[in-house]
Amino acid sequence: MIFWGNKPFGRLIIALILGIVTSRYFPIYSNVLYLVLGLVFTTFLISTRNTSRYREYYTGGLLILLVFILGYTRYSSIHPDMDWTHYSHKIDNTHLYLNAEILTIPKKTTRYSCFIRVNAIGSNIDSMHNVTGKMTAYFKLEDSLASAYSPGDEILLNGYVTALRHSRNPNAFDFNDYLKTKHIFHRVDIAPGLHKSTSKNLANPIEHLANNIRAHSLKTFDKYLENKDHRSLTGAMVLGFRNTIDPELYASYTKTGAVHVLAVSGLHVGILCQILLLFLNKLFKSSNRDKLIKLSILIFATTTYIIITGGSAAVMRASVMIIIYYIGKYWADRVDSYNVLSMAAFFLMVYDPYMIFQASFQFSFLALLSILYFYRAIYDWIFNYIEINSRLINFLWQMVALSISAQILVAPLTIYYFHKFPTYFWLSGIVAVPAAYCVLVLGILMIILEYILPMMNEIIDFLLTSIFNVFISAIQTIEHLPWATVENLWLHTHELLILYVSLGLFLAGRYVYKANYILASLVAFMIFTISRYQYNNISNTQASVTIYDNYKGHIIDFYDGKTCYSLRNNNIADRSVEFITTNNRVNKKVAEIVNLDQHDHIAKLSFIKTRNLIQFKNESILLLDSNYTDHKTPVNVNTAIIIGGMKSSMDSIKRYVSADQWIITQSEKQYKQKIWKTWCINNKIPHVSIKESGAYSFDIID
Amino acid sequence: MNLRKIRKQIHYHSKQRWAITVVLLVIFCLIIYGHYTSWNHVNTEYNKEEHKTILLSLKAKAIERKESISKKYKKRDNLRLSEFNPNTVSKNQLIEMGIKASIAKSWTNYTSKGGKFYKTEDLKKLYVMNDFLFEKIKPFVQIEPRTYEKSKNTKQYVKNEKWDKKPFPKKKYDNYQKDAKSITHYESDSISEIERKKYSENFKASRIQRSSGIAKDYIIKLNTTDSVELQMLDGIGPVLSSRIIKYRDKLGGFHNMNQLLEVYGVRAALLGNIADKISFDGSLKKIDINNITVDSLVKHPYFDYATANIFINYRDHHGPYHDLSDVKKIIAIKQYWLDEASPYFLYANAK
Repeated sequence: MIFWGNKPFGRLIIALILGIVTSRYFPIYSNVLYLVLGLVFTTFLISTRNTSRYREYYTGGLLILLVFILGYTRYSSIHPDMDWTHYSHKIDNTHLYLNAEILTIPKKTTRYSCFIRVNAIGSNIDSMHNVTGKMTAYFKLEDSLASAYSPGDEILLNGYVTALRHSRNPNAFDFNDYLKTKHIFHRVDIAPGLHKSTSKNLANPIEHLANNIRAHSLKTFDKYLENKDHRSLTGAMVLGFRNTIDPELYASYTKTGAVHVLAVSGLHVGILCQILLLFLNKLFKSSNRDKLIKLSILIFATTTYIIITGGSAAVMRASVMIIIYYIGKYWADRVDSYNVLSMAAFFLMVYDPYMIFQASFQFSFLALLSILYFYRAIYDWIFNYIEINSRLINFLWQMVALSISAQILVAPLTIYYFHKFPTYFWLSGIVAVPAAYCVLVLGILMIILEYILPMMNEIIDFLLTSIFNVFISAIQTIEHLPWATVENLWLHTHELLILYVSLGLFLAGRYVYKANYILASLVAFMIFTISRYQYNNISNTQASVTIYDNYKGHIIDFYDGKTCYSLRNNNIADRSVEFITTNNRVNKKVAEIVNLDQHDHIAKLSFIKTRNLIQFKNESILLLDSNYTDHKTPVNVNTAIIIGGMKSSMDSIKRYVSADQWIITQSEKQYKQKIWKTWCINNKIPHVSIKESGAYSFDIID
Repeated sequence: MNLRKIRKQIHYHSKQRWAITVVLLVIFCLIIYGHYTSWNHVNTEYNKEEHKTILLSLKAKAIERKESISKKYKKRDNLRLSEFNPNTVSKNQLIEMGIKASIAKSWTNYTSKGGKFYKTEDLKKLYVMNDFLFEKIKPFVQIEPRTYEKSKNTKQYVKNEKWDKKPFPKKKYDNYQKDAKSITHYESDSISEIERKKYSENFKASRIQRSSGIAKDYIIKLNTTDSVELQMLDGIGPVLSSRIIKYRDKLGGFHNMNQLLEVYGVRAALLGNIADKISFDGSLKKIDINNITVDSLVKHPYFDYATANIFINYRDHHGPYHDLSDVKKIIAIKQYWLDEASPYFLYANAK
């Protein structure tokens, strides 16, 4: 295929991805990997000197194998099990002394939380060792000292260190999994008074400069922009600081598909470089020396911008691409965009192999690949039918074509991660992209003019306010249009992969004009459709019970076809219930949710609830809660769920209630949960403790 | 796949190979440098002198915090129990033993207002008592044996040791309902007016809350169900369901709807509501009337001493019962009684 000819990194990237993914699911943590890597590299070098007829085959093959092993080794080497410098090898207690560096500004939610880099650790101050690694630190909300920390600050603390746990609820967002992609495997909880700053800043000069620029820039925005929303949006779009965005405003952007402008991404880096090059091209000519100077300034500026904005995957991707592109331009006249994209991905994945599992990385690269492949075709398509003479209409069509082309490869991923799809993304793109451009330019201008001509910032404030008023009202109008968001969509992982394989085969077939590829694509799509149909069928006849894991509470869902009967504590916040249960309910394709109270009585065809007894198809379930009255008569059920607060004694319940399985929820008092568990173990009774094993699901067999 | 196609997939011309080799070498050098800095950092001894003051202050604060937490937990588990009489123990004595002040206060309030504990298990009557505390104090409870006094408010004579050995005389079957009412009347003397009103209001409220009952095709098997499932029937609450189950267990099972009327609290209107929702499937617990004694027979609700004596005497004189026709020969036995009781007779062991 000619396609690969001038895209060597396009082939290598596949080998690298395969190596990383293999290492994730089939890990080997051993130093032998370095040996193997060295051996293969040496063999490759030797093979390049060979003059045999088949040299090209085994040299090429060795190179692909080398890159595969490189990906495998890099991923394994970062894992704490293989990295002997990692602090996890020095954890011999739960309460530890740490010497750490603050990496991010503490974020205020129910606590203050931030990422820290651990420099030294020990169970007492005499046995502290130097280590490497990152953790997430949690401070109490009343700890005002924690809110004053800034990136780079060195702190000493004594905290409770625990390993991160996976989500214990089915299909719930796994925050700890997300942290692991950022090399964070542990957390430390710090009580007030058990931490102190050493007044030293450990950031290197560039980081220090970037942090200062960020801090001063945020102060400048606070000074001139009166509206809280305008301040938070400017901070997000210019500096990537999203801590203070109003959740409802953020939700509006998500629903309209414009949330990508709130995160600093390739768009912002591109705009920044465009402005910078505008000035640099005026100042410098096109000699080799001037080109080198321009390149150096560009590299410095993008690196600083990466640090200021916190180094997200999208910013790094864009910055690396731009640097590689201009290095390429420096050396040669023609640069292949796909190869540049592959190179950027290659370097980033070798630098941090965990990045490939971050959603932002996946979105960033897929969106750009999609734009590179589809934009021209979509833009040119309209000219087959109408002639556009107006610059405004041309501009509008450019925005629409850009949005549509970006969404083609990104849409399945959007549904997979967010379970919803914004149908008016093309409309919000017309507003969001120009607004992002203006806000970024004006924001940077405001920062620079603060030191030169501060009085001009009043005009910039007026311009920014006007832009935001139009921008926010446009987004909110689009949000309220009919069918703005299609919700409750679910894609399984294997379905996502099949869909991408189908898309990939279709695009490849289109490129090489071979019918076999199109046919294979259709077959893959048919497999996808069958899978969707099968899951839909299953959801129509499902009957299962899920008891979720929730601290000091219980949420029990009874899935009867597409209806969900839900029983829960009254003291659990709605937001928590939504967080814990929504994804699972979307997965089960629930169309109707019936919220039940413990006193409610309900009688449907296959679901009956009266006081404490639930008859769900042929399963009888007894709820042992404050409503339960001990009759001192034998009771025999399939499942007994201990919710707690029973007025009857435990002895009486144990004597008279007989069940095939006992489920101990977290609503029961902790010491009583232990008593129940001990009783079940001693009497060899099948039981589940939600506190120990997490959420529990079982099917009802008819 | 032929070699040409494979070649196309893995071919790199010399410039590309050279460039990739250089890039990989740079990557390896950077990786090695990165590892070297980490190794160097870890191999250096931690300089604690620099931060000694701060670390020592953190250590002092951590110890202080640990002590205050352990004090808090010590209070909870710090029971210094000794043998005591729960009816006469004072609040201070309870607190000295390590019991929480709030529990001690409720305890002594109960005993001062006339509450009495006659056995160790009566301690669970206290609202503030939890299973954990009860298990801890159970071995130390010393309660004096009960001495009965003639109560001024009741007409019943008190038990003494002589009476304990003899069984109480059984009432005749026909008078059962009347006696049940008299017992209720006796009990209600001790219930205050306010409590009685509250009880009836709650009872009415609970009746209103009940739903229209269970699905049409759902039938409850009366002879195998439990009291919890029975409450699914409209008109039956926890007390009535418990009574029905207890009566069923005494009888050995129900075989027709009229037997339910024998349960105190069950009225004809209720039967009308539940008739289509219950079934009498399941075998009855039979009485071996050919081998049973009088004392065992009177335990069945349908038998009193007189009837039981008639049965046993007839059997002793005329031989074992082979079937119902033998039983019908007993002139003293009424037909309506026989219709109810005969399903419980087992003739199999006739010798």
